[in-house]
Amino acid sequence: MFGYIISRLLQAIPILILVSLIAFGIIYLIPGDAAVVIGGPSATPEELAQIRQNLGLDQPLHIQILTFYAHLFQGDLGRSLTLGIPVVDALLARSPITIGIAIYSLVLTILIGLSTGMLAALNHNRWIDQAATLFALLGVSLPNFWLALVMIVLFSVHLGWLPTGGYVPFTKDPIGWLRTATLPAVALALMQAGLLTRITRSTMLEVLNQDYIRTARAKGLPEWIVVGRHALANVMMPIVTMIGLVLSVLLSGSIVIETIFGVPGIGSLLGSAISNRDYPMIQGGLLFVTTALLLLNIVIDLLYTSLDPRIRVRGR
Amino acid sequence: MTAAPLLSVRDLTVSFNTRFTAVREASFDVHPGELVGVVGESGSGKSVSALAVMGLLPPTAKVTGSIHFEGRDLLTLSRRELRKLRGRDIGIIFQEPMTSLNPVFTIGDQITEAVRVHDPMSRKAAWDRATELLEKVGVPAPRRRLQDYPHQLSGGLRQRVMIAIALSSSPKLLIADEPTTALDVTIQAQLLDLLNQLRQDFGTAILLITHNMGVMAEVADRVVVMYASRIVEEATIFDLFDRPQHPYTSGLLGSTPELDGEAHRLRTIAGAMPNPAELPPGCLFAPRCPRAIPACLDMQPPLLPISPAQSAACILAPGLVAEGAR
Ligand SMILES: Nc1ncnc2c1ncn2[C@@H]1O[C@H](COP(=O)(O)OP(=O)(O)OP(=O)(O)O)[C@@H](O)[C@H]1O
Ligand code: SF4
Ligand SMILES: [Mg+2]
Repeated sequence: MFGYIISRLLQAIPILILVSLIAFGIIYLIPGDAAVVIGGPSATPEELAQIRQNLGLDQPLHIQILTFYAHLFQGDLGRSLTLGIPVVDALLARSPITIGIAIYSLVLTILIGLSTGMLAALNHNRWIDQAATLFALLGVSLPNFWLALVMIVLFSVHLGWLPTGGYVPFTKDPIGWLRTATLPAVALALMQAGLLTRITRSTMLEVLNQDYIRTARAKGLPEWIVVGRHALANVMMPIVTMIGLVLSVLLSGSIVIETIFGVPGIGSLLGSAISNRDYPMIQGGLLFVTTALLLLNIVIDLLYTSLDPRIRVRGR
Repeated sequence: MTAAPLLSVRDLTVSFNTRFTAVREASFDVHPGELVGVVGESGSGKSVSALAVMGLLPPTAKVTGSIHFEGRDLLTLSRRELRKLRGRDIGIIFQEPMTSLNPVFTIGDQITEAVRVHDPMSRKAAWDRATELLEKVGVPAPRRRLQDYPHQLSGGLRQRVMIAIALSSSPKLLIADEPTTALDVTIQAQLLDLLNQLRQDFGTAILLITHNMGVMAEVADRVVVMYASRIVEEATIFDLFDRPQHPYTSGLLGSTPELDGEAHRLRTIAGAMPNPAELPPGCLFAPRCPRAIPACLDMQPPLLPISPAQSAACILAPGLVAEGAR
């Protein structure tokens, strides 16, 4: 197991190198002169020179790369052009907000996706199954920003149940957090839940046809144990591997959703960084998010490994 | 046997959709302590009949007729009543030992679960009982085996774990669907001894499905022969070997493997079983029957008694008796 963890971490290194190179190269992807794009059309030549110096663009390329990595290894991602504070500080300050909503959303995704998928499979070819399949199709195909807007109109404007946006930290006021975090979390969850519903349904249908389910019934076990223990334990494995994917999509979705709901998380931070051409912020955000996802996926892999005895316990 | 049968199946018919019928009008009895064998080619409906008795057919199966167990018709029982019967009064060993155990639970979990569902007891007591059961079915180092997952066991061991599960509540009827297929010869012999011992010690009735006539000869009291969804002959083991009444049975006996190796498939009768979607007219065996006469194509002969202990579904059957007497 320990060796496996090490090998998974080693596998992550080339990916991290690639991602950091892409982050480094972002500034060169800007067509024309980066300083002009960042400074805007009204910038004076002195201002442009200042921008170049700040970004190190006046140095030769190899010096730029070396400086970039030297800073990176010290945990220095540069200074935000618009906020004027270190990128790392901005990311660290905002990440708990995004992580909180992502976890909330993930929990909703799993609850909705698993239960709908199971219900559909247990009522195969009946109307519940068809309703669930339709729900999954809508969840997967409706864009989440559209869902977010519809929910704002419905729950905030018409019904007045929840605020249209804003954010209250959980540590200050848990109820307030719930009131502000619910709509963003649901908007993010619905799409993922659709995906999870589909996968749960098809996996469950397959598992219910397995010989060991017949064995469980032959023992005289009540149906809820047959389904809730014998089938579910086998359905969970492919689902756990899905969760890494779900989280990645959740995080990329959060850029749009946080912006719509005015939630000051990583998503809206990066959203405004992109529109303000705050390159150090974009670079830092890219590195930060991909590294986090990479680590998460390793954790999920390990979780999967510990769930499946065929991998965990090798045959004697 | 005059005592009331433990299991009494009448006119059992199982179809999977309107076109395909896997079992037709099957009727047979199993008495307490009796070992009834079921033989027949692959696809003749043996497993489907067994699953019908357990009520374990998929929901797509349409089952008619009656299956009385201790006087109660299993087909009319509520799901709850049927569930209580399963595992406790009727145990089953499935044909597929490799896939019949849940891959994510230990052997111990799976046996103790079967023990405790009908007989609530502490985990510790159930664990001891599971050890005993594994010992009884000849699993070496049973304590250690209980900690294992199915993938760590060979096919033969998994089969024996399945047998232990089936025996966990000392059922009155044990259905064994080709229990020896995954086992080597020594273990096969051990298992047959075990089945015999169960009958003697607990009066367990056994419905044994096998391709192996040698196994049959060794342990069965009575044999039911199935061909293409129908029971074509039923006889005591002695009558079956001495004077088979159905040409299909004679064919099977002509191709009997000895109990000396892996279970031979009974395929040496020329031709193949009819495609269930396009059954021949008249007797289902006619296309392969060496004795067929034109009248055979007119109707499917019903299973009729020839003597109190033997029935056959062949228009020539009484004639065969006469021939045998000559
Ligand atoms: N769930 C099912 N749905 C549709 N057809 C089925 C199903 N189960 C079995 N059958 C069909 O019913 C027929 C009888 O199958 P069964 O398993 O009873 O044969 P068998 O006599 O046990 O053969 P074998 O010796 O190979 O085990 C076969 O044609 C099989 O394909
Ligand atoms: S009825 Fe005719 S075809 Fe059928 S088994 Fe008897 S002799 Fe053969
Ligand atoms: Mg079978």
